[in-house]
Amino acid sequence: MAHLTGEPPAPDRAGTTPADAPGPDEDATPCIVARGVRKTYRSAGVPTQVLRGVDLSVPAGSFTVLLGPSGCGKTTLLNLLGGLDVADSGELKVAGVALDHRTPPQLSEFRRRTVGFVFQAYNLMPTLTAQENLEIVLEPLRLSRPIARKRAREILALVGLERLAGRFPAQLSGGEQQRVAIARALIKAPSVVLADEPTGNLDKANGRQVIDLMKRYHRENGTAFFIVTHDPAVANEASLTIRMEDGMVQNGDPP
Amino acid sequence: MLLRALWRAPGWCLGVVSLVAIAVTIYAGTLMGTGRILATTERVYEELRLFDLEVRIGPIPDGVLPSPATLVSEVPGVSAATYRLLVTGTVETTGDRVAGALITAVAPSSRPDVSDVRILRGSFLTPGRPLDVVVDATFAEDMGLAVGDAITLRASGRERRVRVAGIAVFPEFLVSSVDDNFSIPVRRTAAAFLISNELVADAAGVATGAYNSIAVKIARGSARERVLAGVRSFVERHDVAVVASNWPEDQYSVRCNRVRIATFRDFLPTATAVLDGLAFLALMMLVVRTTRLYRREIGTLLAVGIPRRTILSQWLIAVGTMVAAGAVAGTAGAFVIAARLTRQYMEVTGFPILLPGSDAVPLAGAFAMSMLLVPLGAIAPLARVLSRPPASLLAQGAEVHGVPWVLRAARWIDAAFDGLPWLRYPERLGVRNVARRPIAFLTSTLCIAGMLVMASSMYVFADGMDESLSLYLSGQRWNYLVEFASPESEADAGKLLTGAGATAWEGLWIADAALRHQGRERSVKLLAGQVSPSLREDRVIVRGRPIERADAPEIVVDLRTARSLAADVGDRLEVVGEGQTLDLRIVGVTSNFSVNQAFVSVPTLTALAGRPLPPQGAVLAGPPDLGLRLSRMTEIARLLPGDVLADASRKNLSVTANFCRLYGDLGVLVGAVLVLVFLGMNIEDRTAEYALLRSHGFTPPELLRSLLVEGAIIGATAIAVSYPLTRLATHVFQLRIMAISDFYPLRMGFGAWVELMAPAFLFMLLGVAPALRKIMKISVVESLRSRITG
Repeated sequence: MAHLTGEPPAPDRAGTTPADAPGPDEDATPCIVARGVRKTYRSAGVPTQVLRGVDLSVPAGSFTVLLGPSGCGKTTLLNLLGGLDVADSGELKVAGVALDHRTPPQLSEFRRRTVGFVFQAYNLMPTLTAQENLEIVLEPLRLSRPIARKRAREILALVGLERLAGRFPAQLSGGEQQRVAIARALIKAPSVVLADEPTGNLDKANGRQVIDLMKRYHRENGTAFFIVTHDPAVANEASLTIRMEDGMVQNGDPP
Repeated sequence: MLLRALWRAPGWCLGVVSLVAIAVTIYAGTLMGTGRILATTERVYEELRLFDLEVRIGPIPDGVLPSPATLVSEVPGVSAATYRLLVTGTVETTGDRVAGALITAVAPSSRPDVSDVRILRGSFLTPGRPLDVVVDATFAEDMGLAVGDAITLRASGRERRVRVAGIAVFPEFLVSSVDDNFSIPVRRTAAAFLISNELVADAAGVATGAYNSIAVKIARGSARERVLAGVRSFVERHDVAVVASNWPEDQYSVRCNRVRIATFRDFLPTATAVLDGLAFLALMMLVVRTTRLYRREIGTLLAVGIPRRTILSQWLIAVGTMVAAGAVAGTAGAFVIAARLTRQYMEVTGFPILLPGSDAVPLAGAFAMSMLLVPLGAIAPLARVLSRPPASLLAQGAEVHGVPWVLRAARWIDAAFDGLPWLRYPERLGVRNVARRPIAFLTSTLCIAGMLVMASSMYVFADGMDESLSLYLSGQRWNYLVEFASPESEADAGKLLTGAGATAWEGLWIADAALRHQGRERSVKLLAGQVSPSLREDRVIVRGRPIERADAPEIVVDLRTARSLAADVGDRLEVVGEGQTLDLRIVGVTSNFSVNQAFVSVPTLTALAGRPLPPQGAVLAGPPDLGLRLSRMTEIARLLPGDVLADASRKNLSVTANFCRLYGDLGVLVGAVLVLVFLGMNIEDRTAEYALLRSHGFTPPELLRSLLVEGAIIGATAIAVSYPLTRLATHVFQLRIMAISDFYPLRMGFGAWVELMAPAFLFMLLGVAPALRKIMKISVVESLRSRITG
């Protein structure tokens, strides 16, 4: 884990560019593999095929951005990758874990240890402080309370919010809330961070800060990020860009 | 739109509607039911012109006193009077049973001016037909008697086969005119008869009969004590001694009809206040929650120029409609309760007719109280939202879900649980969920505790009535109570009763006396019998002890008498008897089961009379067929089987006790509904939170455990809070009961309370089940699409 404190440096101050970031390790086992993944939803009895056979392979340690028009199935794919939903058919493998034919407890265990989520709407628990919002994620991992507390302080320091550890979400700005949400995704050191429009609710400056934070963590820890976004600023930072259209991936293979 | 808005919180709506409905049901239903009974008794009282004062005299032949018309003209304040002969006897019923007969003999030529009967079938007495009688309708119904049937009537040692000429509603159901020690109204213990004084004349071998009672109606506005003095003076002017005077309100029958109902009604303000208070809380929470959900819609309405007043009034109309729906549902429940209450009361007491009461008044009162909740519960939270500028309502910023300092303080509560190693994280999550929503937790806990207090108070009251009766009956070790037709010596009475098959017996002595204390005076019946241990220890001693030594100058009085004399255990009373005045110390106070009575030992009564007195009656134990043998003995004037009295008393009390238990059940039911509502709302409010936890790897069983802990904490806290409140409530109730009615020992020991609450707690845990189902059904993907923190 990185031992950074204070505000994450802006890319220009850090002197890094997207080109400097560690690129996908093409020799390594892909961290995400999808083969013929299909998903159909029924709404009021009317079936809607959202994913029509998705094939993709994402190298380990990549900073991947998934682009596509609204309704093309990006979030659905993200949910399947995160084990929040189950595909109707096809094969899915994330961080070496095959997600098809998994029981609900096995999927819970997968979410508990392997993936971290960042949502557009932050989804912080309103009655918990920033620090407690982080600690609660560690509870199922059965870490002792002092260790969980220490890790929460460290990761809050990483995102530059250690001074606001005792504040409740309603006392934080949107950017601060999203940084807490990112810290919550990172605290358990997941293999893959899945982010759904992480800058969607933020202004430009806060959005930039969030991108830099994720990018820096990725660079220093090699954690794979898989980000669904419409934000060109995020897309510009990608080591791998995947485009989806009409429930299918247009360029699923590594470039 | 606003009704739909409210319906977005269906659980709260259900909670408010059910609370309002039950408040209206209990308040209006009880008032309507008891109102109908009281209205019936009052109207019958007026219609039959029942006496306002009865003056008992020694039996005197007709003609000794001037006519009743003369009495009316000579005594100011008397508007009507009737001379009657009152006797007790027995009547054979089905099988081997006998019932007491309360017989009133009047002149058959005209209807009595005072204390008439209401003929339902057949006719009134006819001159020249001395064997015709009029019998009370309930007894006739119970025995299957019809006009023209013959029955055997025994009184004063004589037996006559008489014919039922008429079946009627009798005054005995309202006011005892014959023997106020009889438990009236109590079905099947006694039958009332109206007979012709020609039958008395024939039986006694006199010309025109005799009488021993003057029933008087007092003119409106006249002072009753002055009327009594006038009647007394009128009687004594003609050398007739007044034996006793009798005011209806002191009678057992009147107390049953009026005071007990009044006691029952006395609980209503408390029960209604609890229910309406809870409805107020639930309503306020509903409006707070709905306005939070509709914050942006309200902001939009304000932004487009809709005045705040218009939004407020629309919201009040919506909330008012919901409350009115609850009140309407409660009105239906009120009619059911009223019908059930009156039906049970009529069934138990045997009161044969029911007249409609004024149902509109209690219904309007209940409706008004419910509607008052609307402005009280809705205006404050609405005003809080409407006072904000539209821009702040429309802003995308996070909603504050609690006051930060309250939340921060609450952290210490769940921090306290961190030190418990056996508390796993799902349980800790449950503790935290409770601690971090202190307002919701307090509201739900108080609401449930309030219902439990109401329910347990009702159960304790019902149990108190049972216990009171059990105490009474456990001291009743006799099988029959008899009165002798003419006083027997103690030795003769013993021979008579053991000869009839009695295995044990004790004489009973009755005399009239006046009790004086600190310038106050009260006339009582002075009863004497064997001191403890005795066959008759059925007087419930509320304070002090029974008389234990026959030679001790001691007296036991009833609660009402003690109160009217401002005396208590340890005080000395001046007791004025027939021949002597004695100074006696009060050693015990009995319940109001036996009102206007005082108890002394036989030697004390003998000393008061100044001469040895023969026993007027006896209590005895013996085999089941003893009753029939006794009833056929000419020496026995009146017979009261103990089991019939016990059964009748049990049934009589059961009406009130059943309704208390019903209200207790309603309280538990509403408590369970509230648990369902609160936990259900918890889940709905925190669907996205649960989904988030699922996304982080919390499994459904872990979330279920946390929810179970939440339910257990809310339930256990509500129960714990309800304990001192219930104790307080029962204490207050006890004081009220002691002040106005019979003695019901309201005790709520910790063990009994735990016994009462254990099923309620399990019930509340079961109430978690629907919430668990909701958790299982949460769609993580769908729920996370919506913001949870704003």
